[in-house]
Amino acid sequence: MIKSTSSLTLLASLLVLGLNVMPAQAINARSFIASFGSDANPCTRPQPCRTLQFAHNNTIIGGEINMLDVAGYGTVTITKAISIVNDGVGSAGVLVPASSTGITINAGVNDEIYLRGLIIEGTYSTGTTGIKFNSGSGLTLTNCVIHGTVVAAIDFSPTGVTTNANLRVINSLIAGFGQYGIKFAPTGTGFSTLFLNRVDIQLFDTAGLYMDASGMNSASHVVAHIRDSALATNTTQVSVKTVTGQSPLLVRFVHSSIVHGNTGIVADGAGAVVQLTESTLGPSVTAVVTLNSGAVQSFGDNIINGNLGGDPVLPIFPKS
Amino acid sequence: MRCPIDILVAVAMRKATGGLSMTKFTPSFTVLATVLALGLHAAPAQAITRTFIASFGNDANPCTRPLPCRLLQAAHNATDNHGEIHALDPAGYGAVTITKSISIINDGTGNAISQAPTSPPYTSITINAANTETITIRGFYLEGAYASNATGIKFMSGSKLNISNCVLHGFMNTAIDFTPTIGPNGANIYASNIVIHLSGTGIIFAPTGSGYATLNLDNAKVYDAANEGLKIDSSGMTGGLMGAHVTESVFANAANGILAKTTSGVTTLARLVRSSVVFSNFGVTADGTGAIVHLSESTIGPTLTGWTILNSGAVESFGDNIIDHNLSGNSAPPTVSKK
Repeated sequence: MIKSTSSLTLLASLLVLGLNVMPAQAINARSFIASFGSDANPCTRPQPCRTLQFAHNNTIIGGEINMLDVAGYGTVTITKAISIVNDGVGSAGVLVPASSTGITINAGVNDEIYLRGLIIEGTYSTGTTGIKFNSGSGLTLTNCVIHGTVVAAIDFSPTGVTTNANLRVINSLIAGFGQYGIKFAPTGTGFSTLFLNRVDIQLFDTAGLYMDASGMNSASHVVAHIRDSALATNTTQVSVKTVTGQSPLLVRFVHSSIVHGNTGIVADGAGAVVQLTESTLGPSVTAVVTLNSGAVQSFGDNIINGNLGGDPVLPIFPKS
Repeated sequence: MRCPIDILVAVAMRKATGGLSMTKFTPSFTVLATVLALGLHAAPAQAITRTFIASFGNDANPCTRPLPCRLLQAAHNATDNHGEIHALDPAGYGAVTITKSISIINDGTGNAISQAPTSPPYTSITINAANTETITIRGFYLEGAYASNATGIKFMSGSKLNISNCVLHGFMNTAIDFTPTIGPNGANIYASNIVIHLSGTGIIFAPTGSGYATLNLDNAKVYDAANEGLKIDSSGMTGGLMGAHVTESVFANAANGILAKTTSGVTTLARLVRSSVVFSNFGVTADGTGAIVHLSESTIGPTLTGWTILNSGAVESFGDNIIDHNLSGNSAPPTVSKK
């Protein structure tokens, strides 16, 4: 039996402090935000917060933030493993101010981030990026729309990768205008993957999909698997590169469309390989550009047709 | 040598990403005073980036989240160029005429409806925007109520229409009528996950002028069109290219499932991939020199006539289609090799 000996003064101090800082102490496994919420609240279901950032700060590592109704929820910087989920309550918006980023991810090397049902809008404002992934293990987006961001819709460029850096985008629309739809350029060492399933990327000026493995060392592998997706009316639709002595890069399109752009595929560098199966390449102005021993390969079952500069004859790998 | 289209698209992109043109103006004190005075009275009409509409809204409101408007038109007028309108709950939100780049979004709050009026323009959504503008429509239910003159979306001027997760029902004129003059950014439709049920014509894609006119259609279901399910027509074009890329889509119970037509000689390519044209009088038709229909991994039939060429049009197969149960025969079109 240890007898408490706290004075009345100390007790009073704790009570006073408690009243003032209670919301900041409310670290939830599951937080809630709403149009009618307040960042003076503890982000619980009965007392939701108003902004993504405040909810993030009051959610435990590995926890989740849920939306309760239609609203703009502000930009957020994520520093831990977390899920942000809008599962059909209406538009959950992130409006990106000029020269800003909607969602910035500065997480730990083992942290996985999951985003669902968000609408990120750049309103064509100068200097806007939708999602910027600076560090973390992986990012998964489902059912998201990113529109009107001028620099990049998704800039996945983690630095100092030591084991993994993975981006997965599923059932989402990424629409320009802007320079990049998805820019994928990790640096470091390890296994870095991109997976797209049912993603539409439209109207980007520099590239719809840009992948650069030259910042990953020779012990690394950079791989993309893209299926049931469409790149349309991007000036350059797909541009991939690496350099000799650094990581190889394999990008495989399955059941996908690369249509109505100026240049279809640019593969730059020995070790940069793009493969097509059951996919469509063209109409384009120029279907394929290979530089510095980059390669574009076919499994012999693609529609490569309607390209104004001629339909290329690609090396064919038999299916088995 | 750069192809003209290359230059065209590149220029268009630069303009598009160049942001708003900066126009400096110096209002006189008189004008300034007038603006200020008007501003006090016209607070609800001040443009903002993101506006909201709701069944419980009021068009005297400023269309903000706490004070939403009632109708699409009021919200449109209160929204900045490049801004967004969001629906808050199920309601009829009225017809709207759009004159700028804007996104109209219902992301799962229930049925957000725009019904065509029974007076002119007999159209749910009319688009009269500058020829560089992009209009986005998501998650709306457009209703024509079977009126013979009703049109769902009438895109008269502008550059791009991005439509997804929408239903267009009962427009016995046309569900989507896209006929702008092609501007410096081209003329493009991106449509995915849409249903067009009971229409006169499902989609008319017929920009005029010269440039790059493209239609990307994915997961579209077009049922019961009295005329064409999809009609692409470059007869009003004087140069450039028209391309329609159609994937994972269905055209059923139409007089003509798909028609690619030109009288101008402009290449007019409709390509169907993993799609179905069934239960129609005519499946696919290519009419005119330069009109081409490509078929790959698709199904043509049952129909009365599976595929038809008129006036030197061409239907071509990649050799991997089901062309079967067409009453007038199932002959194979000329084939193009896959690569």
